Amino acid sequence: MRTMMIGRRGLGAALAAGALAPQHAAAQAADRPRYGGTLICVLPDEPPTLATWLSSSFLPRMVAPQMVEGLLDHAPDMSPRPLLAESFTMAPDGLSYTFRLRQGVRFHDGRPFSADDVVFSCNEIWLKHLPDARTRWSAVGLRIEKQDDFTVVLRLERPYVFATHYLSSHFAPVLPKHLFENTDIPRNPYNTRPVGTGPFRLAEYVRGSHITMDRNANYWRRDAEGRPLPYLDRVVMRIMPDATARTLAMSKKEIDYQNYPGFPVESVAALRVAGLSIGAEPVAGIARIQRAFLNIRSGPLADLRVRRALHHALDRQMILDRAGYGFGQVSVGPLHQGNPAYAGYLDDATPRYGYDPARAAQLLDEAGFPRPAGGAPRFTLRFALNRGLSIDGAIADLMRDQFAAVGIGLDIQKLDEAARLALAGRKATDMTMFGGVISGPSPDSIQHYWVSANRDSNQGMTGFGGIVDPELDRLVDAGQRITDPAERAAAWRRFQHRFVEQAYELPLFDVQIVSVWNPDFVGLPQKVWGHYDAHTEIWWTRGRQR
Amino acid sequence: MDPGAAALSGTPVGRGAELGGFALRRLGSAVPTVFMVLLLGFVATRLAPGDPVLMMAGDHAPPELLAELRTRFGLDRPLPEQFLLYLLGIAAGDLGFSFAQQQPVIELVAERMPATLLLIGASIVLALVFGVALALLAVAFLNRVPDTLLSALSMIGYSVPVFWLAQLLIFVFAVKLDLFPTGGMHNFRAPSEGIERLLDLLHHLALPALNLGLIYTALIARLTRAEMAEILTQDHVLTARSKGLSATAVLFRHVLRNALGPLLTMTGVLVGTLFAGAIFTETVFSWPGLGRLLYDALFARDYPVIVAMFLLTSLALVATNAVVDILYSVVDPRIRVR
Repeated sequence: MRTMMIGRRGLGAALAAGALAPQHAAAQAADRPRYGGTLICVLPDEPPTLATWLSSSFLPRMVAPQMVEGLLDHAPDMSPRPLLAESFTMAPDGLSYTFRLRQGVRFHDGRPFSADDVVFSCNEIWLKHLPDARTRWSAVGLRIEKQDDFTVVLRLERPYVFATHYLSSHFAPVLPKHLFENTDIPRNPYNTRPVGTGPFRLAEYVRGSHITMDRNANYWRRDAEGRPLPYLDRVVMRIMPDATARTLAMSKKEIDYQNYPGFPVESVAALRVAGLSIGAEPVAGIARIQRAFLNIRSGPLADLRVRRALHHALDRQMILDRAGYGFGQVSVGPLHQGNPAYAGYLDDATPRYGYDPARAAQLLDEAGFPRPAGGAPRFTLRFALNRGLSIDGAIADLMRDQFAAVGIGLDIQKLDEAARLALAGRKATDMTMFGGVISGPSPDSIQHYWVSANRDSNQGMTGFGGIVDPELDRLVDAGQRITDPAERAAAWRRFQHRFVEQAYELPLFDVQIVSVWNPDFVGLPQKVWGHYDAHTEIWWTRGRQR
Repeated sequence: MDPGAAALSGTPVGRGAELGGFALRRLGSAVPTVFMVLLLGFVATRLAPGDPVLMMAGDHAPPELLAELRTRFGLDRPLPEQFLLYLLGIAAGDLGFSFAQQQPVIELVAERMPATLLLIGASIVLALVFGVALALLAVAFLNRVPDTLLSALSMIGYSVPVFWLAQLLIFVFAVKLDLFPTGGMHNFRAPSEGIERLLDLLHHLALPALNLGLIYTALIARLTRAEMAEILTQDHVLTARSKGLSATAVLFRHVLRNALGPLLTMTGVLVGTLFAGAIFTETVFSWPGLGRLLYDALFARDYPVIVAMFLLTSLALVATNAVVDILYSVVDPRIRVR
């Protein structure tokens, strides 16, 4: 076994390479999975709802996939795997997908699952009530039709190659039609008591405290040896809003698994000493990048030379090491480099803006912002932050010091999220940041920040940058349509090249999400969606053989 | 029996009617207060930057969906109309519907109320018992070392931030000494039933109640000590002493008893501040109370929940003050409720 004494930066690098994660799995691989036990997980905030079919918040998505399943699961590179759909075929024109559904599956209330549930969930729930699904699917004209009791056809008006990424349990939950039909869906009582086909069923939800889910004894899935799944008797999600309290509870093993975005990486060393396992969460589904968004409509940031100067002025490796404790990699473009699904999406010719304050100063001089005598800044940028994210505050302080060295002033405003979004919607700030922002599961997942059509939106971050670039729009569009993987990769390579060349954003580092777990549990960390995965195959070493 | 008590009570029927009338008058005088709280709460929540619908649906929801949600929650109507509808709802006993949680506010509040009442109740008891005990100790050794030490300690106790003290308590008593759980209301790994469940609850309550109680112990100790120190200089204490009563008897019968009135008033005022402190205690100890309901509602711009919490807090204060006034008349018969 490897020694555990690895420095901050070394640890981050080792995690990124996945070197630490498999050791417990390897030690226990010979052991057969055992049954029983309670896995206690943690939610960093109160979920607004458990209904993943009404809310795009990440919190219900950490809970509901234990109970409500989608058509597909995925491999770590996002290639589809069967779940409620046993198989599917895509038409050559990319405009229809035929799904063969699994037979003999029952909902928690005993009623059988069939094509009617899929059609109802899609047409009456996702497309009407789920904000991100409605945006995504209305752009490509999705509708689902029933062919027979166990076959559905998904039709698109225009090809969308990433469609299957969004049919997972957390993006596209299949609900029982008989409990939602002819009801006011946002006020349906089953929104707080999810009934699905999943491995666990809701036992208790005490708002502000916890959600308890018990093993579904009638779950349809079997393990490789044909034994019933899931292995655990119970999963509890505790709602714990204080980061320090979470770390202390984890160190006492009162909770078994912490894997949410924004995990306080500074506590990793202490938790390792307390005997907990530390590992890297998968990247593909979330692919977070700690980035500052730039409003390039007017002022100094409208000038490309200034935007490039911002990049050269920052020692991003130092920011990653100090504020991010080395968990990640200095960014190049808007897509996460560690994502296996984005292999080939970045070329060597894409500019890398290295730390070069002299070059930054020169670019600023050329742009017509000479350094005034007497130490005053060349200009001052307003930078709006989410006050709840301590890592953002630490990063902003480092940025302010490094910008000051080249004569750029930074006016940091810390706001709560609602106020920050309102400010961003009014475009009343030059820069803004809000933690690690997703770039997954598909590269177009945050196109609403970039595409020219959104330039005049007043909805929070939508169109914040004010980018108007027909070439970029064309590449985003092509990247969603081209079915040939190599040609598609080429489109995204050109997209990133163009984006970085124009320095439309200030990406700092591609985040490696860290998870910490109790080594009594095998199968952690989760392998595909991270905090959105169901705990179907996790088992407890102190459980019973069966 | 104290002759004053008889004067207060009169006949049992008379006293009941007197209290009933008092409660009605108090309720009546609360109406303008409650109206002002509602108006201020309504205006303040809407003045704060941020859009509840955007917080609910996310900022890249389709604009049509945002418009549908605004209509669903009546946010598309003019503000005076929204306020009027809200008032009519309140008058009919309807606290509204939470935007963020998609539940009637009354249900959300009812779910969280017991946890907060338990926490605040336990903290008050703890603060009163320890606070008065410390004050008695200080007065018994007035201006000597124990008194000075207690003054210094209570000064520190009162200036420590609640959330920091909470983390410290968890670190020492839960992690290092392993005497208590770090948070929550129950043990999730080994759920229990009946009397064991009650004991488990008390085990979980200990640290949060200590956290919130300690801050107010310090305050009560300081104020009670000051009150008693002043009473000590009064003539009746001198008389009692010259009668040959023991120091303990003087302290309990003449000094502490006369300090009870101000102590009650202070406790009444504290209930309001306890609620504010409870937000932090509930957050650090993941205690599922009302404080966190308000905290989450503020971040989500969940107007109906925020205004309902303002309303409930003000009603709780009105009720507490009424109870304090009644108790005051019991401990000090010279005062009568009217």
